[in-house]
Amino acid sequence: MLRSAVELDFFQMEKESAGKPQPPKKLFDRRRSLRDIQSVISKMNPEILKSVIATGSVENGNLLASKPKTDEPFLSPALPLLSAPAFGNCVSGTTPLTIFYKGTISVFDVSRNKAENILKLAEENVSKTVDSDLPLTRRKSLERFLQKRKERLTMASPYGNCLPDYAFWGEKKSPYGNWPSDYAFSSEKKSLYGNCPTDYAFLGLKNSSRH
Amino acid sequence: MEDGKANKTTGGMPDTVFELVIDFLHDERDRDAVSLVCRRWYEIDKTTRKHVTIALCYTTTPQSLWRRFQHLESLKLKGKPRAAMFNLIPEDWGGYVSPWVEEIARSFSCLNALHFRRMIVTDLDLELLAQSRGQVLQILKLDKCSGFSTDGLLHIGRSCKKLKTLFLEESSIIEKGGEWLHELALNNNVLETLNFYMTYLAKVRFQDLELIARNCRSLVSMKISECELMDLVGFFGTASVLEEFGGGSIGEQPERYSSESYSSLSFPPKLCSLGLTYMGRNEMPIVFPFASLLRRLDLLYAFLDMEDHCLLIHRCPNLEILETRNVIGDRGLEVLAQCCKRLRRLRIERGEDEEGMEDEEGLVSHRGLIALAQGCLELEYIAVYVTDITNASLQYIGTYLKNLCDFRLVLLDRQETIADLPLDNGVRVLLQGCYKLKRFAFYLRQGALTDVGLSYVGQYSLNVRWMLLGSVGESDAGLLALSKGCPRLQKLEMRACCFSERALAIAALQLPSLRYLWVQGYRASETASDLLAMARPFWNIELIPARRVVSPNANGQDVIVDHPAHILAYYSLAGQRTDFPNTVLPLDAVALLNA
Repeated sequence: MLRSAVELDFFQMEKESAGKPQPPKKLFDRRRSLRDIQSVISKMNPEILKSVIATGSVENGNLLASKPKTDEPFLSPALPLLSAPAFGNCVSGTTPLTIFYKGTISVFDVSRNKAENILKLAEENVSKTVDSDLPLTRRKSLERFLQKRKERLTMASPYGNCLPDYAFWGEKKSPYGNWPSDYAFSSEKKSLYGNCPTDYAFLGLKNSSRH
Repeated sequence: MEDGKANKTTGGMPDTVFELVIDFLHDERDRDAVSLVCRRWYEIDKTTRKHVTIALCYTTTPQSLWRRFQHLESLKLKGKPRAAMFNLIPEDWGGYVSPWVEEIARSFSCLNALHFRRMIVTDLDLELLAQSRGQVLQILKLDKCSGFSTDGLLHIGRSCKKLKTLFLEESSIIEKGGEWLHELALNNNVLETLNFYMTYLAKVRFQDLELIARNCRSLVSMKISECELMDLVGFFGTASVLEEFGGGSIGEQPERYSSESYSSLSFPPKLCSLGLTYMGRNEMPIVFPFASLLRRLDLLYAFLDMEDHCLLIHRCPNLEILETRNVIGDRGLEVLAQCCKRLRRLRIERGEDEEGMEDEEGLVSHRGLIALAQGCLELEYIAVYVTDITNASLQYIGTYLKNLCDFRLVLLDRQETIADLPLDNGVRVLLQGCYKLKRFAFYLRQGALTDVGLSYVGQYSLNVRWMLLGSVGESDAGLLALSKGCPRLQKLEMRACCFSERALAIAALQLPSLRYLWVQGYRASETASDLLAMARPFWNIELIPARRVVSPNANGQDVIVDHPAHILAYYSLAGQRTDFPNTVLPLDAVALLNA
């Protein structure tokens, strides 16, 4: 008996071959366009997809039935194991789920639950991509200042870090920590601080006899 | 005002009484309320209103302003969205002052104070202003503006002899020479405030600054671009009533001036507000002799690490305003909490992220915020970039900082795992506790605020008028819950959220006080047609479609930067604007609905 197949063109192969955008289709009676899902799934990590397909072919029809194995990159602990979908007309039994991926076609007999889970998984990636597409930007004035600061720091040494402090200030300082406590350094760290370039800038290579 | 109508009475009181009383009202909202009482009071407000702020220049026209407020003395206009300060808005977006300057030149004879913020100003505008209002102009502020050169400033310098305040901070100015400052120095002897901080004007002659100090005996505030600080010895010696200084540059000429040279600098005796650009640990001691007098300290552009901050802040018990980068660290905040009990305003900007380029302890987290909340009870304004945060720290703020009017928190992405998420309960307690809060910014990451958390924001932000939300919520339900609250929210900015156009449209309709909406990062529909749900009269909708911009990265290489689409929507009595650049699309509701 022919049941309605759910086709997910993960990498928009249909779209590419057609050469024009596909009209939105309804899936599972949801108001969601296929293009939405396509674009979302196409942003999924291909490694994740591979393991989905791998587990799918091994445990035919039990795509997300068990807890993830620790060595599988597929389901991170942060992803919820999905419970029964809020889904009006669940049909008992399974429906073929066809996945087109990199020229291979895989067909799984999954319940609508499981297919729904795959979609939800894909959707979770949507908000992630929105975030990563929008990095925090800085104020212009600060951007410029930090650029200048970088210039001054890299001027301080041809190696791009502030070793001149050690060279110029003699035995009182060391780039390897152990600053004297009265100099107000309290932990071991490299002297890559803002004051370094001014040291270099003012003292120059000549004033190694300072202090 | 005594024009024969003085005999008229309203409710048994001669109108003159109301005129005199209303004259004492300066708060914009009070004035707004007064003008709605009756026609007579509307008229009184109309003739006596001294200052108007137009939050977006496209909400009305210069002619409308003139028709209503002919005796206006002071005007503030704002143009580009706030996002322009973060390089997110196309330079030619709009916000031209020209139509306003033309009307001012023609009609507003009482106007003596002008403040343009994030607008495009041309040399012609400045010339016209100087010609028409030069005799009376006392205050001119070109605040984060662009489009003009030092030639335009020449006109100001020559003609505005009564100018008490010239403010150019962070404006992008094309520099053709330094004569403008010379002209100002020659023609003006009443200057009190001169500010060209962060303008990168390099042809400024320190001799002209000295001349200004000599001629302008009331000079109280001076903030300049990068000019070798040691060249200002003469200036500091002459500007005897100076209270505020910012800018200059330390170490600009290392071959002439060593670190020790700066110790010979002597500052004016009343100096209580200071920011020395590129000041490092070695120069910091020059501030020590008068550190206890300091009420305001700007360390945003200093080369200090966390320990330096601790040392300096420890000596400033009278500090009221501090601006710095997150290199201050939690320990610096602890020192601040211990020593600076009068602190009212604190701004902690995002410093260097790059590994090895900044003090590793120079990070701010919940630890610093908890100390701050308990120590600086008079805080009214906090803006902070944190690397870690907890609910408890927000609860402390809500519990202790009852004077807080403005709270802005950005969670950096430096630390991958934030243990105490979501922040739903923390933000609830903060908003409940800080009942005076009028401005609120919460820029987080995915998972940091749930839909329930957003509903709390809606429920408990009773006084908030401006909000910036970044990466909050889980779904449209969150936004819809938010929009059922926020009764006083006038201006909403959202970035990197997951809301659909449909939800945005519904939210815009539900928020009762909303008059301005800006969004970048949302679930777009194919034709933006879902946005039309918020189409209505007097509501302008503009789109800045997604762009790809070539710009230099941190290493100076040209890279392609993806700029996702923006939505900007606002109430306007002026209809759709007519000066769109090709990067901005008006959403013509009628055309789309009929298509």
